[in-house]
Amino acid sequence: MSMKPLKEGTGFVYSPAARGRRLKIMGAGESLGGEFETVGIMGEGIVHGDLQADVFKAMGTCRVDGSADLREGRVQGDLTVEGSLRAGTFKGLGQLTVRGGVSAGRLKMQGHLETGAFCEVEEAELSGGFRIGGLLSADRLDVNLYGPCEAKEIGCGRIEVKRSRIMDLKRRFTSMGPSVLKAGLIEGDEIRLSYTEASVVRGNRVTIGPGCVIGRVEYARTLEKSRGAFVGSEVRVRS
Amino acid sequence: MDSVTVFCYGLAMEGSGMEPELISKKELLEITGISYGQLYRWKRKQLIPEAWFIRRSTFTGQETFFPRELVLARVRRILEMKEDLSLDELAEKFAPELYELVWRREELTARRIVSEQTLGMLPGDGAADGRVSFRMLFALYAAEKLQRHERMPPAEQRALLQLLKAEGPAREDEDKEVLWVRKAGISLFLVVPIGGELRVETGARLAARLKLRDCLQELTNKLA
Repeated sequence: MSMKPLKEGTGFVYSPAARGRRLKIMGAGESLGGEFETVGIMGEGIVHGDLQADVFKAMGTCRVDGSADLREGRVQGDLTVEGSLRAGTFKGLGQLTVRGGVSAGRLKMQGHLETGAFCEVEEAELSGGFRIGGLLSADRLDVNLYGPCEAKEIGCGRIEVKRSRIMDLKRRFTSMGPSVLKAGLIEGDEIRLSYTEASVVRGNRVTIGPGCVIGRVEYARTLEKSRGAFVGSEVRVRS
Repeated sequence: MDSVTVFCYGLAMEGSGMEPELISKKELLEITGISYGQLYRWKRKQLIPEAWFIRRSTFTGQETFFPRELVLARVRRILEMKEDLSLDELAEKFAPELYELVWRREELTARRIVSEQTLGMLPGDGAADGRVSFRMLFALYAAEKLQRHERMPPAEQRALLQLLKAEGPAREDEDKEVLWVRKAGISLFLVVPIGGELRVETGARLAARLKLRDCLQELTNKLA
């Protein structure tokens, strides 16, 4: 990301008030970034720098070279953020790649999510695959496995991991990796897992469903294991 | 980031030279009666600073520990105050503690928060003991960001650093930004509130600009 030379002769007008500022790209276009009330991108857009927007909508392919700060974001297609992404609500269909961290109030993702660092959300619904480079933290986290999912650690209030049967079948005919969630550590008050591989799971009420391979489970209240689950060791802690 | 253990807990412990007594996450939950959900929520809201999460290997794998006194006092305060205040309001109450942190030079470079070169901008006596105050660190970090695209002569670096340090990352400055204006090889640094309109004369050029609040946010994220 580099500061582009500003237009000669005109002087530089900087109006930081985002009110009324709109960025619209149809077809292919570029922008220097900045603050906007609305950003609409259809086609291919590149933002050279940081971007703040009240409402951000994109269809197609979009890249932000800096960080993005959005009150509301909706993306269909491919969005890459070189910095970090902050959003009040974010809905994505397709692929979202963030080199830094993600923090959001609500995050709904259908497709693939990739972050270089943490992913902190109050409410998250992730359908598809993901790779989180740091801690995946959420108050409520729903994972629908449609592809390989990976996070270093997961910490939340409630987590539920499910896998669809149809995709199970489809996987036999495609080269897609196994639809399994892999994490080093999963902690939460209410944990319901299936098709999950983790070294340690710690929680209050824990359900280990089919297809799980868990090294060690520490639970406080209840532990349920389905027959198709493998648990190395289980310990009941405090009551 | 996770593999780096952070040994800075604030001034309270700096002087003692002893490692503070630690408490495991499990024990913390047990003693205080809080849930994982609460703990992670408070972490997201930065009510409990990242630096307090200390990773250690134990026989059951990686475990997280906290500085005992600090975290117990903090949890108690959160529980007391959360009746009357929202989490965001609470977060504001606790944020200033960040300013009390002191960082070691080696740690800053090892974690790539600021470069060795930027640390070289420090006035000779400023970091003789190898420690950098948060205020100074913020100035360094902002200075490094500003001159990422353009070279800045040493004399100007010093002037910028002085300005940034004097401004500081204090709360009332949150809606300010620093501007770097150049004209015919001469630089001028300005700290201005965000909100007004700005015009620069024809021969001059805005070389870079940086929002102090975003910069602070980024720095604290990195330090986390």
